[in-house]
Amino acid sequence: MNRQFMIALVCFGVLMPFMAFAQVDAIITGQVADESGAPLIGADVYIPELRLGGATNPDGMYEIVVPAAQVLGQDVNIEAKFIGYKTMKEWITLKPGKITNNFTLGLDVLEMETLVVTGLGVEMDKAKLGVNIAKVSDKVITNSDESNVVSALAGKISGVEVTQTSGEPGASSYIRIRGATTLSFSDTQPLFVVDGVPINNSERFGFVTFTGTGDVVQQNRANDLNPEDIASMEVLKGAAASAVYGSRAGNGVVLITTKRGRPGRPRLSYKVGYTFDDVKKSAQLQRKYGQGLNGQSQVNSPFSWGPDLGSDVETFDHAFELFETGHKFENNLQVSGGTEKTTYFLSFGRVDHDGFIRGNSDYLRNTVRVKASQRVGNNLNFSGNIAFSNVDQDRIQRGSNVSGLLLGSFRTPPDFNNLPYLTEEGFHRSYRNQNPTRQAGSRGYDNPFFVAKEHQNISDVGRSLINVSIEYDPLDWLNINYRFGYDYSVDERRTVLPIGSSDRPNGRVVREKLTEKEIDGSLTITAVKAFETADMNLNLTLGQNLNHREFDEFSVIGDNMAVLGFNQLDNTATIDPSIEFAEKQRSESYFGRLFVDVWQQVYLTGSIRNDGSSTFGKSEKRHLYPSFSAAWEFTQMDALRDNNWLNFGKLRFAYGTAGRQPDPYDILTAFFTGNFISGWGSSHSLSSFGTGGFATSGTKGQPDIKPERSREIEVGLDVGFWNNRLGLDFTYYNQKTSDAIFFNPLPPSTGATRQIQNAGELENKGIELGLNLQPINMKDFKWNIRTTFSKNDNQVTHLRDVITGETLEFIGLGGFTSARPIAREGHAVSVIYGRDFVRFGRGTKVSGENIDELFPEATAGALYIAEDGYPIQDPEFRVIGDPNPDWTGSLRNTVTLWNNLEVSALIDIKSGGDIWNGTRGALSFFGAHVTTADNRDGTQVFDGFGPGQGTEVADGQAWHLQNLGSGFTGPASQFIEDGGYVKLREVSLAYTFADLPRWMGLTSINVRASARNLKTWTDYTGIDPDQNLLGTRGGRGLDYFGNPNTRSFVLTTRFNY
Amino acid sequence: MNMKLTNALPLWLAALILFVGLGCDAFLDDESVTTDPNRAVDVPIDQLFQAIQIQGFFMQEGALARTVTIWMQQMSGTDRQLLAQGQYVHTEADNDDEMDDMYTGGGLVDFRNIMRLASGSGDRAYAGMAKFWEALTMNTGTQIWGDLPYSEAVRTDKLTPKLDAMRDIDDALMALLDEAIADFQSGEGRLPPNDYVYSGDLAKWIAAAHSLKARIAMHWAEVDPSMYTLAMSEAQQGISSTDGDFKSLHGSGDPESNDWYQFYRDRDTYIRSGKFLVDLLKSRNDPRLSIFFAPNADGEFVGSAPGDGNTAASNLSAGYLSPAHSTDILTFEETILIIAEAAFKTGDEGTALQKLNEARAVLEAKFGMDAGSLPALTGLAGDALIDAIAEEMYIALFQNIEVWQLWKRTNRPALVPHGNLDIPRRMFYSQDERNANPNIPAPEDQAPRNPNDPGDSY
Repeated sequence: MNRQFMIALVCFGVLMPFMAFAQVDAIITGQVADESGAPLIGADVYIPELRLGGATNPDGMYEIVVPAAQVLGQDVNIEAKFIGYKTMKEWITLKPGKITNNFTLGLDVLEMETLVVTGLGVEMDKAKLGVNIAKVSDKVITNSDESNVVSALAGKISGVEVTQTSGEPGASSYIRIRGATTLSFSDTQPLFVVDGVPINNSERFGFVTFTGTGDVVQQNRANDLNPEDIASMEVLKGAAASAVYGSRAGNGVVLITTKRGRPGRPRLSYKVGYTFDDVKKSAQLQRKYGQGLNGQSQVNSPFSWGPDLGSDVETFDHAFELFETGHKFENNLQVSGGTEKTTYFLSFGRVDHDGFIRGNSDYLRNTVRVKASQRVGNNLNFSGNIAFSNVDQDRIQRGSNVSGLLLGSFRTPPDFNNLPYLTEEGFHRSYRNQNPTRQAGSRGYDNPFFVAKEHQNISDVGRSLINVSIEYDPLDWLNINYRFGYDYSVDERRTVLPIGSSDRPNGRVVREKLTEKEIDGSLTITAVKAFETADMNLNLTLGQNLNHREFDEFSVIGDNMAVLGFNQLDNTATIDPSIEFAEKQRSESYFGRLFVDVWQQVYLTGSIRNDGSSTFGKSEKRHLYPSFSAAWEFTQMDALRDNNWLNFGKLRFAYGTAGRQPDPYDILTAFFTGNFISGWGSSHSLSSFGTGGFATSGTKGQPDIKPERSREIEVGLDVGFWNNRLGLDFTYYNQKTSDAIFFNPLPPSTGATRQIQNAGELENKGIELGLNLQPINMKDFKWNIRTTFSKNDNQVTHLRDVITGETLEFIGLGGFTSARPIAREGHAVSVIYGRDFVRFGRGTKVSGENIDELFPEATAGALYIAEDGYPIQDPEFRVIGDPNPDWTGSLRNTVTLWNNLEVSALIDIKSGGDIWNGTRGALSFFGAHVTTADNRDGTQVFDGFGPGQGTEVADGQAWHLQNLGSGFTGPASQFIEDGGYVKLREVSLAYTFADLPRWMGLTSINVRASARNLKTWTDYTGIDPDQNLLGTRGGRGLDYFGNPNTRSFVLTTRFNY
Repeated sequence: MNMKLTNALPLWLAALILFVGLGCDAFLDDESVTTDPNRAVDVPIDQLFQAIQIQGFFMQEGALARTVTIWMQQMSGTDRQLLAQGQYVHTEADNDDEMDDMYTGGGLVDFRNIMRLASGSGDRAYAGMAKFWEALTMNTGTQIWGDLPYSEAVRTDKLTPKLDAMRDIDDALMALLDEAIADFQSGEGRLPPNDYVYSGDLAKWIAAAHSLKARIAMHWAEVDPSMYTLAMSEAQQGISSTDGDFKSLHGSGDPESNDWYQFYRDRDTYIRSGKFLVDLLKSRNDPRLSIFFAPNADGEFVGSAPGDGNTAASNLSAGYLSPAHSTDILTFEETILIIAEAAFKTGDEGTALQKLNEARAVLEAKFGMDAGSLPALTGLAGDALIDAIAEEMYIALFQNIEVWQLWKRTNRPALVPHGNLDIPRRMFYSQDERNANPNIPAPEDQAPRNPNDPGDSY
C-alpha cells in the first residue's frame, strides 16, 4: 500500500511539468448566422462526443471551453442547430488555445431537421417520421402570453382546436384533435405526458355543485404547469402516432418536454410581464323600455316589457357594468447550467391575475421547478425533476343558474340600477325583489353585484409532479431506462351561496376536497445497431409500464346560514350528510417499437402495445394496439439529390390503432345513495330523517365489454422548394372509431336506465395543410409566413341499440331539453337537437292534414302560417344545427428587422359551426334583448304559406313572451347562428437590446408588447363564438349566459444573463 | 467501475425486471381497484325501504302534481315551461323523469327487492308495505299513462317489456293490495323502524289499503258500474279518521324538504294559484282560501287564469310552501267522498248527501276552520248533488294527482280550457322509454284518452 502510494507520488512529481503544459483549455468560438448573414440568437452548438455545448448570444456568437484534460488533438464533430434551419455538422481538430469555427445555416421551413419527441422517450428527426407530429417550440409557447399551456396551442397547429371556457383568470381550456373520436363524456381530452410521465389534466366538477349548464368554470389541471418551464410541446394527433400510448391515446397525446440545464456557464433569465384585459363585446341589450309588462310599469316584474322610458329616465348599462379592466402580473426567474456530468435547472414563476369581473374573480399561481441530472461514471445517469404549484383562485357563478352572474345582469331592465346591491338594512336587493324585508329568501335572480362580491367560489390547489429516472448505458448500443413519476394534487374548494341567494335562499356553504394521484413506472430498453454494409440502422425499444390512478372527493354541505359574510360551515344550522366519491384504476402494459432506416431515405417504424386495464372486470383485460409507419425521403435518391427546385421531399404513410378503456366500475351493478334528483333542480336525500337509504343504481353492470378502438390511416407529403424557403406539408387521414363505448339507454321499465355497450361507430376524415414561406430573407429584413388549414368531416356512422337491435335514435351529450347536443347516426357528433317551426316540404300534418298537399304552391322550407297569422311549432325534434366547423385555418406573418425588432401577427379562422344563442333567446323572452325594442309596438307579417298567410300580427311582447318568439318555449331553431369567425389572435412587437454596457452585466434585454384577441370578425350576435357552455363535459355549440372571453394587452421584459 | 457494471449486466437487468414486474398478476385484479367504493353491492331491507318512501313522496308531489294541478286549474303555470304547460304545450320529453322513476331505483325494482328480502326473512309487514307502495305508484301511473309495462317490467329476462292493458294492471294491483292486507293481518316478522307514514301501525296500513282499493275501483266505475259496489265496500273498510291519512313526511332541512318548496325556491315565478280554484273558494267563502294561498302584493287573493302567465297572482301560502309541509296522498275525506259518489251513482242519494256532509265536517275539523264554515248541505239532489260531491272532492284533492282522475271521470268541475283548446287527458309515454323500447308507440300514435275515460258525460 505504502509503496504504491510512493510510486504514485513520484509519478505525479515527474508528470507535473507536462501537466502544467497541457493545462491550456481549448476555446472554440464563432458565429452562427443564416445565409443572409444575420446572426442566429439562441442557436445550440454542441460537441456530442464530449457532451459539451453552448448557445449563441445576441450577436450569434458562441463559446465552448473544452477542459485541457480532454484536449488531445483529436478530431471531433461539432454541430449547430436552430429551429427552422438545417443542422450543420463540422469536424474540428481539438488543440489548446482558441479555435474559430463559424456556421452558416440553411433554411428549413419544414423544420425537418428538428428533433421531435415521439413518445416512450424517443426523439427523432422530423424527416424520419412517417406520421405527422406537430411541434411547438418554447418561443411560440411563451410568446402566446397565455398562462395556461393548453391555450398557448390555439391557432398554432392544423387539426387542433383549442377552446377557452371563459376569459376569467385560470379558466379551463381544452383541445379537440381531428374531430370527436369518442362518445364518452368523461374522456374527451388527449393524454398529457410531461417528460415521459403521464400527468393529470382533468377538469373536475364537484359532485355537489356541478349542474352541467351552470356552476363556475373550473381549471384544467395542466394549467398548473408554468409555460416558461416548457422547452417544447409535441402533439400526436392521430391513432397512427399515438398508438404507442395504447388505450389512453384515443383522443391523441400531448407530449411536453421541460427545459433543462446545459453544460456551459450558468444562465439566468428574469421575465416580468404585465397584462391588462377587458371585454370588448357583450350582449346587445335594449335601453328604451323599462321594467314591467304590457307596456305598464310593474315593480319586481321579471320583464322589460314595460313603458317607453323616453329620454328623462336614467338607464343603466347592464351589458358592461360588471366588467372592468383586469390586471395580471407575471414574474419568472430561471437559472440553469451545468457541466458535462451535471446539469441543473431551477425555475420560479408567479402569476397574479385579478380578473375583468368586478368582484371575486382572481387567480394566483406560484410554481417552482427543480431539475437536475448527474452522470456517474460513463454509463449511469440519474435525473430528478420536481415541480410544485400552488394555485389560489376565486370564481364566479355563471350559466343557467338563478345565482349566475350574467343571467341576472342581462335580464335586468334598463331602468333598474343594480347598485347598491344591498339595501340600507344590508339586505340583498335585486330587480325582482327591490325592497326585501329580510335577508333570507329568493330574489328571483341574484343581483349580479351580489354574485360577484358576496358569493365565494374558492379553489386552493397544491400540486406536485415528481419525475425521477435512472439511465444506464452498459454498452454502446444499449440503453436501459427506468422512470418513475408521481403526480399528486389536492383541490380544496369552498362554494358559498350566501343567505338570500336565489339558488339557496337560506344560504349554503359547500366544502369539497378533491385529491388526485397518478403513479407511473416505466422501464424501457433501447438497442441501436448500424449495419454499414447494408446501409441500414436499427433502433429497437422494449418496455413495460405500470400505472395507478386515484381520484377521491369528499364534500360537506351546510345549509341555513345565519350571518351574511361569515362563510364557514360553522355558520350553517344544518349540515347534510357528507358525500364521498372515489375512483381507482390501474393499467399494466408491455410495448415494443422497431425503427429501421434504410439507404438514408426509407424510414420504417412498427410498434405494438399490449395494454391491460383493471376497468374491464371479468371481460378480457388485455388488448393489442399495433401501428406501422413508413416515410420515404425521395429527394435522397441520386436522381433528385442536388436538384435546384425541389430541395426536400418526403412521402409518408401510417396506420395505427389507439383506444379507450371503460370508465371504472361501469361494469358493476350496485346500489347508490345520495339524492333523488329532478330535472327541475330539486333533490331529495335518500338518507333523510336519520336513516341511510339505498336504491338500485340506474346503471346496470356490463360483464362483457371490449375497448373502444380508433383505427387510422394517414398519408402525407412534405416538400420544400426554393432553397427550402417554401415548405408545404399535406396530410390526409381517415380515422374510424369502432366499438365506441357509450351508455346504451335501457327502457326504464327494466328497472335501470343505462348500461355500457360497444355499439357505436364514428368516422373522421380530413386534410391538413401547412404552408411555410420565407419570401424575404435579407440580413436586415426577414419575412416569414406560416399558414395552416384543416378540414375535418365527422360522422356518427353507426349507433346501434343493442337492446332492440335497431338504430338508436340519439345519445344526449348534455345541455338543455330544448337545445341539446346529441350523437345521431348519419350526423356529426354534437349536432344540436331541438324543435323548429312547422315548415313545408316535410310532409307535416297539421290537424290531420298534410300541409304540403293543402298548399302545393308553398316552397320547401317556407313557414306554415296558422289562421291567427303566426307560425306554429313542429312537435318533432330535429337536428337544427351543427357546431362542427367546416374548416379552420391560421395565418401568421412575422417580420424581423435588423435582427432585433420582430413584428408578428396571428390570424385564426374558423369557418362555419353553428351556435345556439340561448342567451338571445332568453333575453328576447324577457324583452331585454335589443331586437325586442326595434318593433315593439309594431306588427309583422310572417313570410310563408297557410290559412293565415299575409295576416298582420303583433310583434313585441305578443310574439316574444306569449308566443313562439320565446327562447324558452319557442323553437330553438330561431336562435341558431353561424359561429364562424376570423380572430386576430396575437399581434406583437418585440425588440432585443444586445450590446449592453458592460456594467449591466447582462447579455440582452428583450422587450415585448403584444395584444391577444384584439379583434374578432363574426356574424355571431352573442358575445363570442369561441366559447362553449358545457366545457369538456359533453357536447358543443351552446351559449347560455357564460362568462365571456377577453382581449388583452401584454407588456413583458426579459433580462438575460 | 465500468467493466464491473457491464459484466454484471444480466444481473442488473434481472433485478430491474423483478423490481418492476413484481406481483404483476395481482396488479390489475387487486380488490382495492376492482370494487366500487361508491356503491354498495348488498343492501339491507331498511335502507331500501327508506329509499322507496323518499321516492314515493317525491313522485306524488313532484312535476306530475304540478302539471296536473295546472291543467286542473288549482294552480296556474305562469312562467317559462310551466306557462307553456298551462297552454297545453306538452311533449313526450316533459315527464321523462317521472315515468322512469316509477320503475327505477326507489321504484318498482326496489319494491320487488324489498318483497324478495322480506320473503326470505319472513318480515311480512315489509312485504305488505312494499306491495302497497307498488299499488299506489303503479296506479298513479295507469291513470296518467293508461297501458304501461308491468308484467314484464323489472325482470332481468325482459329487456323490452311489453305494454299491459290498464285494466289488467289495475286488477293486478287490487289483488296485490289483498295480499298486502293479508301480510299486515298476519303480523309476522319485524316492523320497519323507519315507516314514515304510519310508524308501523298495521291497522292504519290495512285501512289505507282498502281506501286505495276503493280509489282504484272508482277509476273503472265509469266503464264498469259494478265497480261502484266494490268501491263502496272497500271504502267502508278504509281510512276512518284524519289521523289515518296517508301523507308524505318532510323536514325543514333542504335535503328533507317538500318538492313544492324546492320548486318555489328555485323557480318562484313559474307557478301561482289557479283562478278557478281561487274564485271557487271565494264564492264558497271557504276558509281554505287563505290556508292554501297567500294574498298577492296588493293584499288580495287573485288566481292566474289558465295560460295567462300572471305572476302577480297569489302564491301558495307560507304553510303550503314550508319545507316540512306534508302533502295529503290518500285521505279520510277522499274515502268518504268515494262512498258519496258511489252511493249517488248506485241510486242512493240519501247516503250520498249524508257522506258529503260527513266529509265537509271532517274537512272543517281537519283544517281547523271555524264551526259552520262548511255547514251541512240540505235539499241537494240529482245533478246538483253530484256537482256538490265532485266540487268537494275537487277541493279536497288540492295538489293531489288524483284530482285529474276525478275530472276525467265526472267531467266536473266544469273547467274552461285556455284558448278553447282541449285539456289533455293523458300524458305521452316518456321519451326515454319510447326510444329504448319498441313496444311503445310514437306520440302521434298514442290515444289521447285512457281506456277508463271513454266520454265526457257522467
